[in-house]
Amino acid sequence: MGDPVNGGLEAVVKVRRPEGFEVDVELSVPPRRTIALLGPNGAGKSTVVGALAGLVSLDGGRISLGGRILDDAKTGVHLNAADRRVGIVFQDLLLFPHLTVVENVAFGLREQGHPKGEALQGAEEWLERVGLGGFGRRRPGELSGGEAQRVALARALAPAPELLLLDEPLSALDVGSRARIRRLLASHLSEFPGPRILITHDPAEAFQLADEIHILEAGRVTQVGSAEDVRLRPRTAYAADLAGVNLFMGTAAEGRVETADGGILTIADPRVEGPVRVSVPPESVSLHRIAPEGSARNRWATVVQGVEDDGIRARVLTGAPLPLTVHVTHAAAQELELAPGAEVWVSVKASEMRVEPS
Amino acid sequence: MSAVGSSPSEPSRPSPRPGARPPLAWAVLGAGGATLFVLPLVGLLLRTPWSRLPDLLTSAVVVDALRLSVVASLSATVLSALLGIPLAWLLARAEFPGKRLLRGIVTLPLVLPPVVGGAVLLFALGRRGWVGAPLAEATGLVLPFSLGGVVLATTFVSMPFLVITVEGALRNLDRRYEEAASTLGAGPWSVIRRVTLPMVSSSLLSGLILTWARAFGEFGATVTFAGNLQGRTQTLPLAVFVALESDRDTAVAISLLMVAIALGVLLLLKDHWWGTR
Repeated sequence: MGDPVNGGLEAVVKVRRPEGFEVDVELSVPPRRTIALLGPNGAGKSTVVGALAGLVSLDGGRISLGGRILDDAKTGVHLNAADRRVGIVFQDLLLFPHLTVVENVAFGLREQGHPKGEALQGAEEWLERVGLGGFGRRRPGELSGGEAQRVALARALAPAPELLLLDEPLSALDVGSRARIRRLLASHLSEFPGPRILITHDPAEAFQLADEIHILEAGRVTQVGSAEDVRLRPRTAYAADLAGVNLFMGTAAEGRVETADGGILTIADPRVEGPVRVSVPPESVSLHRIAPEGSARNRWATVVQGVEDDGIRARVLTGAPLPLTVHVTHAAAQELELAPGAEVWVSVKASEMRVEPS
Repeated sequence: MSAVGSSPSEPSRPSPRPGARPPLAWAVLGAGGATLFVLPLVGLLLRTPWSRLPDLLTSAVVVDALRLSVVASLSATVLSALLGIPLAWLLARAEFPGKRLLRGIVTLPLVLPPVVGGAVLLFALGRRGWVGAPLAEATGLVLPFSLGGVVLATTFVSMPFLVITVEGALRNLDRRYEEAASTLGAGPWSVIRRVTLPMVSSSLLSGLILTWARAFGEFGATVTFAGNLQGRTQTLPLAVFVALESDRDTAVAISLLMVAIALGVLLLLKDHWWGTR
């Protein structure tokens, strides 16, 4: 069905947003590779989807897919959405409510000129591939969230697109079915021969499904790397927050880092000089009721700002001079009488901090 | 079992729920409203010369008028669909200067007296009208006092019902469905045919019924623009008007016929129109 896919996506997307910022994103995705565009709401993720799909026109840049030019702001080339062969699983799925499930999946095949019977048969096969054989005659409204999600995937894949876009594919699902559908999605993604782009604000989704993660903030890509990179070496406050890591920007000199907010951290390697990023994993931080002794070289007194305790583990936010997120057990939180306003001592082992030039 | 009214939070569904018991004054007013519609109908039935009815209804005047009414109202509905749906789409979707003014002009026949509508048509398309005169000269086509004139006048007064209904539905349609269709390879025409129109189909049907109903009852614009010629332009409403002056029994018979046809169509399609049981 369709042509063999052998080309990647090369895109420079520049779109001015009415909110006043410009989305300026460069993406290079080879076939059989999944990248995640991970970013907070309003970062411009939907704009990138729209531009790649041909629903939003570029103010600058160029998009090519498998050697075909889809958009070129310089020459004014703009291929209509209908002619791009870009398959999309939309955030709200957008299954056509007036068509049955199998007619939804057959929609793209019909548009490619396949006769009705052939298109419906192809659609049935796709439904079986996503585990929904026998669901064809239902209406979209009669499906569960997970079933509808799989129909949307089958509909996007049936016309053999050359690029697959998944726009927040799991956001419409309840938490219970999310993990199951995520696994299913992973297996279907691995079978799709073209480049794949996953748009999400959920780090778990990105970490599990993508080979490479692009962090998008305010229209710009602020970090590109593997899930491992983002988790261990976040480059921005947003990425650090996603990874659950404390991140400080500062200047290193003589084995000490002075952070932007005026805090001082002692670091393990005295040779590091100049602007650095220091990440502090929550597990490397200890809390104490009285000034601790021992080898920890970073310690200071502060006041607890907040505690989220789920009965097993507690997440504690500490205050100035260096605000941190700290993980302790529920028992420890009880013993330390942690509550907003409580006075505690914080200690951080320099050896467990990660220091990188920025 | 006493009914304490229906809970507003509960969606209406065909469950065996006791009917709401309204306040007395409320019920009296509602009954008064119903009487206004039921009373004349009862009067019509009482006045009907039942034994002569077959003869009256098969008279040449009535048969001619019935044929013209059916042809004209259906033609006007088809013409309204053909021109009105694209017009509604343009008003809902396209951006062009003067759009607000155009929308006002299109809905004008809803508030204008139909006689004025007919007169306006006559000024433009009459034998000496600024469009009608050159049209007659070039093609020999003269609209006034012809079946074409009846259809045109009827379309003029009834098409706005279709346009406003469909335009409203198009505005409420989530356009992302159309975008989804286009990413699946559907060109603009295909999107309209396979997604847009099917998704507004219930409004479309309501609009068509309203349009037909208005066309079937049309009198003023037709009589002004197309005249009142038996067998050529005299539709049922015109025939009733003439018969009232000369032959009361025929007038009653035609009225009964129109009531039967209109009520039949509305009852047949009421599920689509009101979504009621």
